[in-house]
Formats: sequence, structure tokens, C-alpha cells
Amino acid sequence: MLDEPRLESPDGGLTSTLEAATDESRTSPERLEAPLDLRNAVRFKGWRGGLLVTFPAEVDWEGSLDGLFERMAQARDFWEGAPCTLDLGARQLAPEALAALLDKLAADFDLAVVGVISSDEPTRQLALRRGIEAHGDVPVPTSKGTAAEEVPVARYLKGTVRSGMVVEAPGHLVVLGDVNAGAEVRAGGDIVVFGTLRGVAHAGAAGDLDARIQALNLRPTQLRIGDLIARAPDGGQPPLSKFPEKAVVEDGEIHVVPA
Amino acid sequence: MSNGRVIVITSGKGGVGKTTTTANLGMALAAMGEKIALIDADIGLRNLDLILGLENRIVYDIVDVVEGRCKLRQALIKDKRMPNLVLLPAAQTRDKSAVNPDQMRQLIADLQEDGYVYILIDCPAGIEQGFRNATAGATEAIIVTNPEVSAVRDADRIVGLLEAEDLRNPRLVVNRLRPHLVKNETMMSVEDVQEILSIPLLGIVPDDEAIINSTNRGEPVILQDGARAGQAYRNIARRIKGEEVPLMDLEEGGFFSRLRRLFAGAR
Repeated sequence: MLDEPRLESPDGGLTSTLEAATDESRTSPERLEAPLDLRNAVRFKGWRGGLLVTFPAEVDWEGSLDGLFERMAQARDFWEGAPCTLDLGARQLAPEALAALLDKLAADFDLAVVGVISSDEPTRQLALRRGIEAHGDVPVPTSKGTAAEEVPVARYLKGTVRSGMVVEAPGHLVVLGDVNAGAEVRAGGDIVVFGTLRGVAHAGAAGDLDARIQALNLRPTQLRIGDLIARAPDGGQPPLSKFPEKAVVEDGEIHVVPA
Repeated sequence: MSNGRVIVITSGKGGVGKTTTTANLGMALAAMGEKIALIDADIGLRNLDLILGLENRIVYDIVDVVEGRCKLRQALIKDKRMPNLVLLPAAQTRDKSAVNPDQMRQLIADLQEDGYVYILIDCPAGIEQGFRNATAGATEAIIVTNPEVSAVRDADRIVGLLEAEDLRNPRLVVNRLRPHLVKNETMMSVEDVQEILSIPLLGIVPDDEAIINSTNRGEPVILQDGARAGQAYRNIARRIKGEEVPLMDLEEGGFFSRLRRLFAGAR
């Protein structure tokens, strides 16, 4: 497998047929311009067909809120209407603070908070009083639990995604067919294409760098995972791989490896 | 309603040969005895009459019909060579907004009532109102493309838009193919095009100098004996009627000229 010529990329190893995009070639999402500390102020993850927002313990509440609202404002359309769970860790929140956050999310971003995760009993009680599910820890799916609710929902699409079309999914996205050049697919979680991916794919669109993009034939114009971008090399695509490939984030860069 | 066929010929990109294809398929179907009407939906940039050599007979046009200045029958131009083919010409002095999709559907219904079994609609380039008008009353679509990336990209967009208009199963005509360029891999092959568009192939038309001459003279190429593009269009017309016709041999010059070259080489 290693003697496959396309795999001998300049940075060595089983890596990309895609060059990491340089700063000047970054054309789109504005969210890339967010300063680094803002990026870590809150963490987003596609979860249960919606969104899990984690407030890290090391960031103060005000800082987290600033980061949260700024990033939401940048991708307003993407969030709209998504069911959302907040992971507050061990924070002890004043009733007004939690209420203010919930109200702002609903009013400004049309975001329904359906769950709160907190190890702080009073905070959980606050949530329950607002009619929101409260968990002491990130709930683990149980075998007898309602499967549809515990597993991240995937959007399943049969057919060719053609030039000019945009397909979005809050959870994972599965396309049984090709994604042609000029088309764009976007998912909060992973993207799987049972066919040829020639267009633009954005996995982990909510910022989840664990998301991956997988295709039987991976020949994209551009790949995005979280806020990272990789583009096809200039001067034509390398020869077609004989096996399916996936794009994942390693060391802060998008790499393409055999799936 | 009627079981006639209403076929829109479209491409997205301009200049790929929609109008030439409409004219030739119309002629070929008429030559097979079908009663056929061609509609030029490219209002403001009318061309189909030129290619058919009927420009000097236009008195009324599609906009005159829609706005009630004449009866539909008065606007239809009977072809001088094929009496069972008529053209409903576009207006040259107006633009696409002069007609709306409902009016197009009404025109088509009226033509079917008059016994036109095949109605071919020459769609303008682009994806705006002209495209919506042209596709409004159609029940089938033929996508014309050239073997080049920009034409194929636009064709792909069109297939998607047709799906949204519930015109499923469009069929593909690859026009202006140059087999020797495909052979030395400087031109996309029909297989390359099909792999991207993944719609059924209706036919392949080779790039043929006879088209230039025929366009300028207003004499569709199917009327010329021995023109390879004309043969390709005749084959496509037969496939539209449901016949199984094998794809023709596109090797430069076909079988006989290769045979001739072989002998010439031997001398």
C-alpha cells in the first residue's frame, strides 16, 4: 500500500492528497477569524441530533458566554432550531444567570435548550424547574434506552447531490450517491459518501474536530472539518485511489488516509 | 389528457448546441411522419427560425399569441420542406418576462389539442425565468452538453433543477465530440461526462463542419446526405421514438474512409 504513488506526499507518511490551506487561500467561513482563546471559550459537538455545548472549567463564566454568543452569531443559520444540551461541569450558577442564558439563546438564536449536564445539584434543580432535562454526567446510552434518542441522528440521502445544491444535517450525513463539484454538504457530525465526493464537504460544522469525512472516492474541491480547511492540490487531482478514503484531523491539520 | 410528448431541450450553458439539436431532432421526427411543433422559448434572442431557414416568414410570434394579438394557428410557421412540422417563433423585441409558465402550459395544451404529437421546446441558456418558462409544460427533458468541464458543470446544475421541477429522468446528448481528441486524452470522453451526470445517454453527436454550413444556410444538417452529425441526429430521433439504435462508429471518417485510407496507404 505504501508504494502507491499518491500516498508519498511531501510531508511523508500516509497523509494527504490535499494541501493544508494557507491563510491567504482561506476564502470562506468567517468563523476562522475568531482568535484562538475564543475558540476554546466553549466547545461544540454534534450530539443526539443536535448540539452539545461544553463550558470548560478553566474559562470564567463571562468569557465563556462571550465566546458562545460570538460563535453563534457567526453561524446563525446553522444553529437555528437545533436542540441543544449545555454541559456546565461543576459550576454553581445563580438562578438569574442560568435563566438569562436560556432566554437569550431562545430569543436571539432560536435555540431550544433541551438538557443540562451539571454535577451541581442546585443547578440541576434550576434546570428541572424550567422544564429541562438534567443529568449529573454525560448520559451513557443504555441498551434498553430509546435508541432513536440516544444515537446521534443521521440524515440519509439517496441520489446525486448536484452542482448548486447545499445539503445540511445537524447530526451525521450519509449520501448514497455522488456529491458533484459545485455542490456543498455540511454536517454537525460526520459525512459519509457512498460514491464520489467531488464538491465541498464540511464535517463537524459546529466546531467538532473529531468529525470525519469518508467517501468511496475522495476527490473533493475542498474539505472542511470544524474550522480547518484543506483544498485539492493545484494542477489536477492525483490518480484515483483503489480503496475508500477518509479525512480526519491529526495535529491540527486535515489528513486523508485510507478508510 | 393527451398522450403526446412534450420535450424540453436544455443545457444551462449557452452555445453547446441546443437550438441546432432542437431543429435537427424536429426535422428528423417530422421526416419519420410525426406531426410536430417546435417552440422557440428563447424570447429576445430568437435563433431557431434562422437555423430552420424560416425567418422571413415570421409575422406573429409567441408573445403575440400570449397577448391575444393573433390566434395560435396564425403564428405557427409551416416548414417549407416538412409539411408536418411547424415552428412557434420567439419574439425578438421582448424579453423572457413577456411570457409566464402558466401561459406556456396553456400554449402546449392548445398545440396538443390541434394534434401535435411531439412538441419540442428550445430552452434559453441560464436558469432564470426563460428556463422556468421552457420547462413549465414539458414532460421530458433532453440535456445537451459538450465534453468540457464548464458545460458539464452547468448540465449537472440543470439536472438538479429539473428534479426540483419534477422532470425526472432527463436524457443526455453529448454534442461536438471529437473522437481523436478523446483518444489522445485532451478531451473528456462520453464516459467521463456520464460518470459525473449519471443520467442515461440518448446520443452522441460528433463535431462536424457540415453544421457550420447548414446553420448559415438555414438547412438543418439532417437534410444533407452523408453528414455524420445528421446521421447522429437521425439516430437520436429514432431512440426518442423508442427504437433501439446502436451508437454509431465515431472513429474519424467512419468505416469507409478508414478502408480508403488503408488502400491509399497500400499504394
